[in-house]
Amino acid sequence: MREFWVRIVAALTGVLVTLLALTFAWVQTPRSPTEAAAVEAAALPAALVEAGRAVYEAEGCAGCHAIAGEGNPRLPLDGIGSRRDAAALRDWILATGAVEADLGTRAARVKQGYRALSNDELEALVVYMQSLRD
Amino acid sequence: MRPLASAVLWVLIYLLLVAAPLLVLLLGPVPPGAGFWWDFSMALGFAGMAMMGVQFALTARFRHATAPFGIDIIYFFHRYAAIIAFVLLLAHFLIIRIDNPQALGTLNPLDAPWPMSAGRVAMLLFAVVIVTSLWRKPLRIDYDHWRIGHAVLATLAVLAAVGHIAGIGYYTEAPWKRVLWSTYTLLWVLLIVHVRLYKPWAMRRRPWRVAEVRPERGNAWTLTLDPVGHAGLRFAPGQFVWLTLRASPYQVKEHPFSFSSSAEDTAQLKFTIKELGDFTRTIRTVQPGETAYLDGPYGVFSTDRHPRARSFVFIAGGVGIAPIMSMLRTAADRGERRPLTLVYANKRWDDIIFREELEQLRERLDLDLVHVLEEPPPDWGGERGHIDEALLARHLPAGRDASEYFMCGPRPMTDAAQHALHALGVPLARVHFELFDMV
Repeated sequence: MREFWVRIVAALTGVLVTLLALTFAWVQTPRSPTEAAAVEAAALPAALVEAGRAVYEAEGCAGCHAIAGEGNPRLPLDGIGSRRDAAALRDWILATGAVEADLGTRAARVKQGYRALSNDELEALVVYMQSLRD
Repeated sequence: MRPLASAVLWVLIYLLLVAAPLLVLLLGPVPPGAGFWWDFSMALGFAGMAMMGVQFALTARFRHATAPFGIDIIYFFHRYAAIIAFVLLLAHFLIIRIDNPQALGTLNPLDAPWPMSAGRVAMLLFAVVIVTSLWRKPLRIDYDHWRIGHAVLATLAVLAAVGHIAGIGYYTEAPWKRVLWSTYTLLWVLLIVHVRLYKPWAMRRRPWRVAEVRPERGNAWTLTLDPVGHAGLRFAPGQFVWLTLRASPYQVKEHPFSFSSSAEDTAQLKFTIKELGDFTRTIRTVQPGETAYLDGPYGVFSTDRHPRARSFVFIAGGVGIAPIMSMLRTAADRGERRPLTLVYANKRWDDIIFREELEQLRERLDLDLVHVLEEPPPDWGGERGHIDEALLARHLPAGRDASEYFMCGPRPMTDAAQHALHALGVPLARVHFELFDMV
């Protein structure tokens, strides 16, 4: 008899927290990630864009960022190339200049790690970011 | 408070504790939504961790909180809740794995951000904890080793998971939330201090001394304990304690045993223990004068919980007689007048623990004593075989649905007896047994 009630309470707990989780997901303003693939500007050298994409993947940027809905949707990069110029992109990648204060200490620490990238890699990454246009 | 009200209250407190982190998520300012599946997965992670966190409290053996249910059922619940919590955590991972694998990044711990690795480690540790608990016996893990490993691995798993949550920090950045999560973590630490340090310390302050180790029939031994420097222990007949022998209470080498002595005698406790496992086989070597420590009493398997019952029926198998003997001895000491029935199953006539004393108890109690033997002697005129519906139908008292039933014995026996009683129209709410041997 008591085992019966145990199963009820355990199942009830599971259902309750799942419902709460669903509610949470529901009330969070549903924002559909930009589905449209980023348009690559013709002016950018395709080889460099590809190299930048490789750096992006190798460094695991998708752990914190999403492009076209792939990766962590918390911080999407779609259209970033329309909003930031090369210098600003470089600052955002490395947490240098005024950007350092804008980033949380945690994010700044992670980004400072990318100062170990070579100039070529960094250049390619910036170009790849520039290629992400609205 | 009445037991039912108290039980409902504690269930509500449990649900509130488990739901609290999610309610905080819902109430407080959170980062903007990141898509349904992403947010659902994150919330499931918090839900799973909230349940896992409360797992520590479930097995901290708080007497007030466990009293309305019986501590055995709390452990039973602990087991179920762990599985549900693990499924939630697994869903948290799998949703991202399927919906957005890129966000998980590399598996290689050298390249992966440490909070992601911490999450993976936590998941792995939780899996190990669950597998070693559900299948301890097939895996041949020693009980004492398992207990220590269980506590250590579970603590490490929770710490890794807390690292995962705090390291990613999306939901825990706001200062007031930091305070809240820190408080939650602190509560876990306090629980561990309570269970691992305070309780053993309290046990050490109330030691017991072995007065006698007496052989009984059927490879069983009765261990008698005297209090040292304190008044003893009050218990309800049928309850049990965790007994520590030849070890410090800090070592967590304790084993649960039912009292077999009368609850009217609080200054001398008796436990009747059959040689079944590694620990119980050492009972015969225990010498008078050795020190013992007790944690208890626990359990709701007691006639004292049913003062209005018109009669009591006891169904015992082998050493399962121990808690029932405590209830019978207590009944005799209190001058109990209500009709009692004992159906007592054993293999052989010579194995029957307390055979002589039960005969004597018939003179002091209105006791119908029914022996059931699996291998009866040639001249045996009593019941033989196993306990089944027909056998019980022959011996249950009149007004069987107003009686309370107490069963203790091997699981196949209690299962069969439970089915038989149900078939005979006995409400299952009146059938009581301890759940033990869970791991």
